[in-house]
Amino acid sequence: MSLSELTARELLQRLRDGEVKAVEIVSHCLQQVDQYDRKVGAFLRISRDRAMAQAEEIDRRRTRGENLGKLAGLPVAVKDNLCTHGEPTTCASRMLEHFVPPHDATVISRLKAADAIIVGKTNLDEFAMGGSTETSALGRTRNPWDLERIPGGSSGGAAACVAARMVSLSVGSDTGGSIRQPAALCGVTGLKPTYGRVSRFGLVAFASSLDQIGPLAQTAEDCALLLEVLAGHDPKDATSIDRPVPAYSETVRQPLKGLRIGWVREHLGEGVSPEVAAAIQEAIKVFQSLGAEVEEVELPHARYAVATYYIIACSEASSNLARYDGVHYGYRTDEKAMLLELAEERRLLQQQGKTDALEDLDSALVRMYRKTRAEGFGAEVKRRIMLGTYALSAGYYDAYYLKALKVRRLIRRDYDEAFQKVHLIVGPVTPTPAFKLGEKINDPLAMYLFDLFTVGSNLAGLPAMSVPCGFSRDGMPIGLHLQAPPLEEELLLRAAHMFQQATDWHLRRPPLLNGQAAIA
Amino acid sequence: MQRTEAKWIIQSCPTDPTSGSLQKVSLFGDSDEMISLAEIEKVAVLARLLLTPAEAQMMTEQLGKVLEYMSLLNEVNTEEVEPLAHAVELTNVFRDDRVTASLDREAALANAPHRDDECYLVPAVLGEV
Repeated sequence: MSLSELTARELLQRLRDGEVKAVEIVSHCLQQVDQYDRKVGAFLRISRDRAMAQAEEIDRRRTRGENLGKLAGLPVAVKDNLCTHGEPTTCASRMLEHFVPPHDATVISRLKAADAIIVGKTNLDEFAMGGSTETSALGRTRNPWDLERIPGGSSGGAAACVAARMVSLSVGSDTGGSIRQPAALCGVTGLKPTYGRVSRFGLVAFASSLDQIGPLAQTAEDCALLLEVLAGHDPKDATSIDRPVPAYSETVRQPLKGLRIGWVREHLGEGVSPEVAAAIQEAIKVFQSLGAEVEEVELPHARYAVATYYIIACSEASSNLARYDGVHYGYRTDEKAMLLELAEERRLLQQQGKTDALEDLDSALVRMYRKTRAEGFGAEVKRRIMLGTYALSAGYYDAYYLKALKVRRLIRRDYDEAFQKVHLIVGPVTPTPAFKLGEKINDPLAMYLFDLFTVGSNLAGLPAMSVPCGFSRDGMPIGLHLQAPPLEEELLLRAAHMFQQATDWHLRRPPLLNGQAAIA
Repeated sequence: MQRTEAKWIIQSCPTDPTSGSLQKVSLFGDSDEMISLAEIEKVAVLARLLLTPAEAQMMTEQLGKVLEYMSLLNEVNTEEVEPLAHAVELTNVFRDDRVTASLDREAALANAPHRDDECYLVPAVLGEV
């Protein structure tokens, strides 16, 4: 059996039993990258030598009988918006193309403490803003199931490298669906934890009240294993929750009895492709056959989630991204050219006697900021900064930002009420399977509306998962969305594991890997 | 095919539930457009962005469309609803007031695009250039 067919849990067992060495696993991982990443483009950077050296070290320590961390010897991919000390962290932006962080994100420290081997940094939409990884300024990622389609986003690279079996564990971030949506579109399992469950320290901020880091893997069991390492209180993140971390990797195997799941009528109606709706209905039947009770629940404000989300997320983004000023770190415009340009503008205005315009002309410092940001940010990032600045500006604050925060509470209340009746809410992750590259890139609103089903759990701070649950006629994966009350990650993982014990969608491999038909 | 589907989604979230299509509800004044080119230029200054005329034009159209969609929120009654800024409403998160080492100067300056031995350098802030 090839190493790439094994889950993280299976690899760990073989490592412990001495059947395989960490160097073999890492070199196999690098081979897979060499073979497939030219086509898929999941990684922005691979740390080949460091990864191999670390694997050798782990093997030596194991031979000496030392205590090893929970992920000892396992290759892990990390989204490139997580700071890695001494190694570039680009956010797939020209702005941070050469940025080398002076510290590790807390999740990176935790991975290192668990003896995981960080093999590389994965591609994303620029600053995690996008749903297709197409807004990346540094690379194009393709869906391993069909290279002409998007892998989803923003954690597109994080999902694609698991789907193409380059790594078994991958870390992403989810602000409005950025773990779950690419997981769904690439046929892998992904989890967005409760807001505050995982420290955000060292995650380059997009929308701080929504951002959350989480695992992607082939199986719920592997997500449990990785979440156990990532989660926990961190004094460096004042919003992190000070509660003990359950032993997810142990409890994930306990079946649930008396599970009640809810579904929402609108999630299976208009706007959802019939194939997706059918796959979700089948998945609900699987849960029924496992003894779950199913009932309809209502989320009356769900239809306002996209509008609410984009107002809040863009407002927070416009504030967070104000730090990219060309002074402290990151890209800066060519100062000489900028000063010449400004002098020429001034000369022209003087010549034309336009005194008002002269007064309004940027100072050298302001022009430096503006040119730096104009050149360093891509179109989608600029769009969101503009939207957020507008929504927060005098006169519009109450109508947009404050209004959105109020609707946010109503959205949260809907969930609280629904969870009085059921343990989990199930539905589709996306309205359709992965679309073609380039298809929506010039239609921001269509792209935003694709997030219809995922943004709610970010607004409400709930944990949610995407689990493979079928394929479209043309062989594209479909994801089942599971949402749970705050801090109920164990429940989510156990339900997802139960589902994966009864189905094999998560074990299917893209035809790219074996030349065989995807759906046998 | 996919395009039609996208439109379909938009139409399934109508502001007027009977019409099945997006309806124009302007939040601000009677102007026909959600946001004007002049407003876009103003916001660009606030956002410290510099848009080319083509970018500004496109931004006006695209943001107009998005803002129009956002006016969907007008139909929600939010009287007496408290805003929810954070999903986990923690308050008073304190830590001990203990002095710890901060980032070393050289490490802090290491990524600066323009610097000398101890400072970040920026274009002249006062006076003529």
